[in-house]
Amino acid sequence: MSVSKVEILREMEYAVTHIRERVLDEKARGHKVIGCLPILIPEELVHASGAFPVGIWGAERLPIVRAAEYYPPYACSVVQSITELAIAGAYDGLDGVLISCLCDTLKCVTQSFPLTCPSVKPIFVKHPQNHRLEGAVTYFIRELEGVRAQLETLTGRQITEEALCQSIEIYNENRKEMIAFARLLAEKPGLLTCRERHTVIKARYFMRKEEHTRLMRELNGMLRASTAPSFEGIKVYVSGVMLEPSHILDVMDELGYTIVGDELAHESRQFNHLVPEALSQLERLARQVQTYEGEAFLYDPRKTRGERVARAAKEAGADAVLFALMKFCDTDEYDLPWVRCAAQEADLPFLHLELEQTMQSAEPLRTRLQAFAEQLTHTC
Amino acid sequence: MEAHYIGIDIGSTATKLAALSGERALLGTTVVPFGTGTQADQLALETFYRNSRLSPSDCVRTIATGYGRLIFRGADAQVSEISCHAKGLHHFLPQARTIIDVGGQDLKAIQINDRGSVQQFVMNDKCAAGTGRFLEVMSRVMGLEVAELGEYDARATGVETISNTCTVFAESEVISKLSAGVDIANLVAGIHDSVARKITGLTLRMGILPEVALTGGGALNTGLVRALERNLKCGLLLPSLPQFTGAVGAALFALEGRL
Repeated sequence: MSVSKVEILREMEYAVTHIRERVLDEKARGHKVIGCLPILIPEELVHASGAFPVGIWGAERLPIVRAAEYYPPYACSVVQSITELAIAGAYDGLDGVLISCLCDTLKCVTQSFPLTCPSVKPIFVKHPQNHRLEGAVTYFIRELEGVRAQLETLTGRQITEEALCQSIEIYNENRKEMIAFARLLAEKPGLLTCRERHTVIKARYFMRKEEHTRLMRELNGMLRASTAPSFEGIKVYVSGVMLEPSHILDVMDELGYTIVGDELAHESRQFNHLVPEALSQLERLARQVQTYEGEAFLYDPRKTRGERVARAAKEAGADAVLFALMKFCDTDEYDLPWVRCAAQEADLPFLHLELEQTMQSAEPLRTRLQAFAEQLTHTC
Repeated sequence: MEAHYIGIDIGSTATKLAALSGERALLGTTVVPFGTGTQADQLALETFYRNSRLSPSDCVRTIATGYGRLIFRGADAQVSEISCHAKGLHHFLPQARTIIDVGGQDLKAIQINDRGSVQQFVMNDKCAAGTGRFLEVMSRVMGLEVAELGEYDARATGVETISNTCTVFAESEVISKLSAGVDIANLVAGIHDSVARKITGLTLRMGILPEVALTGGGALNTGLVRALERNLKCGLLLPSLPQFTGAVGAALFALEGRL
């Protein structure tokens, strides 16, 4: 591994592990900081307002104590850990948060966040569930106008068409680099570990996109120039919400897995849809939602997610599909049989792993991952 | 003295050891009633060799499996218990295509092909319902030994329904029924039925291919076997040493020496 690649990965690792420092630094420079909760947040609006957008997707291995006051025990651990951190004051330095209500548990956050973190202004983003209709665009433009107005009030800065256009282009450039990155790892499996791939993608949440894109261009250039390693392990395509706690990635690396593609809500689904052209910048953002096909959190009467996963896994050259099921995510629970059937019809071995962000140990999952590896490599 | 191959299955509640000859003959077994995190692995080895004509110096290769497989220092390699159960069961009952393993805190359903290779598997998640632990908890509440449950079940004239969603809730149900004076034998049958329903649900999620075999300590419980046959609507194959299926599988991997 060249020094430069190590340095890039180290910088991204630093971003992922020093979020508080980054937020304080942005504040010290006079910037507003806006948290962006799952799942599909139009971050470009935050960027265009001059604020620093920071991802909020809970925390790994955080014991849930006080959040239990707000949810039944069967609420997903991502939302519970967001609330636990809110109660602990972890978000107190933020100026605002954008909260979507794309699933039933996130809808609860729209109610719990103002109670648990009263000093931070919540701005709700209400996506059109029936996103394919033309009326959905009209509806979402109106919603986005409201989000824009609230951001303008919060930041004291007008979000002009020009500024928003520029932000969209910056984000699209980042998305293109990320799509190229994912393809490179599919073409040259084993170039990065599962943990490194995850860090590169996760760093997007905690760096300005211009900064992340610059690093991605350098990294992609190095990956393009690298010779494909003679990888003899298992190439998996990962589906689900997120693949954390990240010590699962270490277990995967140890067992000889590499990730050749994913459609995780936390990872590729954040960047694999470019914002299209349209008459206005808000219409562009509204029309981006229309481009989603088989998205778990949007209405999909044909249930195409399974076919899409199987097709993408084949295209990425995967040996198998891994479904990372976030415990109590009913949205993914409903999709699991569709994805499993489509994978099996495509002759792709399938493993579903039930995860919780709060899991302290990956050992029970190790048995499943090891047995799956033994099954796939015919060593046993 | 004879060259031999050791398989050691370090589970959550017990450690099982099996030794095979180079001709795949079972030379001996040992079980100690402690699992991973204790000295059970060393104790199992010491007990085995103390009671055997075999010498540790003639052990060609050792494979570890079970929860404690990664921390056992005496192994040449480690293999998941899923692969080991498939291997061991196929050795004893080659006609089986679906394996249900009821362990101390694990429940596994495994589909294998005609060569004994794993095709797919499912496991329980963070829930003791459907496992040996569930039966241990219930027998303690009733003041019985787990080994007695089969006899009580055989005397049942009916089945007292117990929920299968949570061990703790089920325990309070059992206590309530005991307070209400229900027949113990019928209560035991209800407990077995609760476990069997949990196992059946998990196995159906994977799909059932005939024939179906039951392994693990749960296979020693005749009441559970009956309840499972009732719920699965099929007869079950039982290996002669169900508790040692994983250990024998590990010993077979040791013998084949591919790992």
